[in-house]
Amino acid sequence: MLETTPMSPESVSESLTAFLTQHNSLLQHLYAEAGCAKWRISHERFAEALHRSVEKRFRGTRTSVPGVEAYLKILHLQDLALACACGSGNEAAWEFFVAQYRPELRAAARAILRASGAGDEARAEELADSLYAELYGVGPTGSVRQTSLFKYFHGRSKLSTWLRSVLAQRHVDALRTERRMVSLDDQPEGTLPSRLAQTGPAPVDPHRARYLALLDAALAAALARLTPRERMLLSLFYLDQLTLAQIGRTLHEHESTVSRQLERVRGRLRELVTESLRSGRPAEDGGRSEPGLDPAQVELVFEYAFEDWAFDLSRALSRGGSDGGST
Amino acid sequence: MGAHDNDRERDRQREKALARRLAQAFDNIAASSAGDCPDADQIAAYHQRALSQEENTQCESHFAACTRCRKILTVLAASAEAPLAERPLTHQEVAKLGEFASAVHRRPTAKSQRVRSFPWRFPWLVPAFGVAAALAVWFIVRPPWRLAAPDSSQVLIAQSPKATVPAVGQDAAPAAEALNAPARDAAAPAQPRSSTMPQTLQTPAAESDRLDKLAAVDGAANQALKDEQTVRESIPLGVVGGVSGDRIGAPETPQQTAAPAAPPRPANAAPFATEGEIRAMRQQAAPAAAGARANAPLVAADAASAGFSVLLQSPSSAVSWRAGTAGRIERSLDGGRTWQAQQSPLRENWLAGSAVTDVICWLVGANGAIARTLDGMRWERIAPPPLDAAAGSQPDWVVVASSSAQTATITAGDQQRYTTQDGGRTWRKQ
Repeated sequence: MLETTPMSPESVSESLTAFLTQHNSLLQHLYAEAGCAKWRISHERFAEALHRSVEKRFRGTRTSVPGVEAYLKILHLQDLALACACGSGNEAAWEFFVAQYRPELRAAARAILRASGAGDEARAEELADSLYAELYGVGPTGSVRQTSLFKYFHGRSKLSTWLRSVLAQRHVDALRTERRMVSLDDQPEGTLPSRLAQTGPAPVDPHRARYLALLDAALAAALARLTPRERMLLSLFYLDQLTLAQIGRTLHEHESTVSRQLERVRGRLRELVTESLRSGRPAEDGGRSEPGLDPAQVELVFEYAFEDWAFDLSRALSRGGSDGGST
Repeated sequence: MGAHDNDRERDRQREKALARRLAQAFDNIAASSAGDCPDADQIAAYHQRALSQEENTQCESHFAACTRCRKILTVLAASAEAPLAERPLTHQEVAKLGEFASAVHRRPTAKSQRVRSFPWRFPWLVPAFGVAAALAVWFIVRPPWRLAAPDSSQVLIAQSPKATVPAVGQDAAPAAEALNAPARDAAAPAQPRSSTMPQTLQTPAAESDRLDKLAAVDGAANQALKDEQTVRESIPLGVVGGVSGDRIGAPETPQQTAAPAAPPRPANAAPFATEGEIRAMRQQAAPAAAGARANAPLVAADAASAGFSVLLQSPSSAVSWRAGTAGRIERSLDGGRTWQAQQSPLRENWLAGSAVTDVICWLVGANGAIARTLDGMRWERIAPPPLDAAAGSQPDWVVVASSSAQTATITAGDQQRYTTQDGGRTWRKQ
């Protein structure tokens, strides 16, 4: 998850030197804009940080000098300077960081835990403070200075957003670990049926089985034709079961925009699937070709699908709870 | 008609059936294409919309297939929320808030004494040396409403003109009822938020007809959007500006608000208190959990003394902007306790704004000034619509309503309206 730079020392300094030469005047300007002087960061160290940022962004892609310069200009330079200073152990910078960001981090931790239903002040402090040690660069022994987490901040976002992202990451990973440890027998009773069906037992009717397989293939093909954002919308709503408002906040859209977009995507998905069923599939990868279905058959496909779900739902309900969606 | 309905019904059923099968379908995608999860750096950049188009698409492809990353994004979005109260206000609390607001307003400072002699109340807008300038702007902006009621202060559209509210607190109940009265436009589609419908204008004065036109919303008005308006409006110089949000099913025209002059509302020194109080009053009727703004009066008092005429808050309430004379723009990330100055592209006085999200915000002002930020920090000047042959100079924009980074409607002092759907590249006269 966290980036590593697998370059040899020689090649690093080579590309760094090239970087410094090519962008010298811009680097001077950026150094001033970032206010590095007040944290006593040297030109070299700051240029190194900028180089790391550029490296990460453009690794494996072909880019031009104007492209790199444009990228450098939109970085959050002051935040980067602060991170650079803190990461190198500048005490004044660290004090400033704690004073400025600690309340925010605490508030973010509280908000995160509250959203997960565990709004406990102590836990929030724990979550927030857990970050400090790593940011400061203290290792497991407690005294040796390891690489500070600040090295992984590259100025593409505000420092506060990055901090919140790290918090979010840790929180989610902690939850996932917890969940894996919970035995399946401990599932709560009577959980609400998910918006999705469980995969039921193999349908008895071979005709039905074939039709459902056709539908799944058409569905997969249709999903592939949606844009990534459209797929994201569907998964946020159907897999994660978020409310429209929650999706809106995640995607920075208004709730009603999300609602409209979701409706549109659902409609589009339906159209694509129907089209796929009607036109059939050419033979591919050793499979056989599928002829297109006529409207009556398409109708039947959807009926089977609907029954399939209804059957599973009632089974899930009678069992007193489902296992929930994918996690 | 019947066949059409049947088709629609059938389509709905099919969509439902498909939705049920999505889990498996997504699992299949995930298995093949997820790739590595982006790190915190990239996720933060995505959240701030700072990625390139290509990176964005790549990330979204991954997110669509990765539960963990989606969860991180959701948690990240949640981490920005900091509700200050976790339950609706009681009647007594509303009253207290109102009293505080009135007290702030009535505080006898030299400035406010001077201001009270005028038929409007914006003590925080009157710099010691700029009374004449302020007056001049006032008259430019509001000539049609000069004859408004003696105690006319700019109020939010949600206030029913019929409810006289000398001290906000006492009249919380009747005002709340007025808010509950059904709106003129009963044809509104779904209301996802609260069921309260702020009343549109019915001012007794003749001038208010013009106000009505300005304030009237489209036929397909969404009441929920209007609710949002009342929450998100700023109170700039003389005019209410800014509305964000979108409508369900309605065409893309954003809404506008205007300032009814009639209702006497003394508590304008504390716009946030007003806003919070309106929301609280709505909560009396509808159990919308908007949350109170306990620090609201502080924010207002601050704005009052600092000479900022536009005060905005993003929908999530995590970010606030204020803008004022000579192009000044500032932003607060802690509910108004501290403000950071931002670079402004213009030196004109800002008159209205609209905060669409935590990072997208529009500002409009005198002499055709329009600006927009897409990242919450950097403001770019947006070219105004080209001048009419008849007009001599650029008009003052006094209202802006926006639902996105691309769509906005601006209104001039003479009520001309222009809309853009492409972020200000082109404008269409309304």
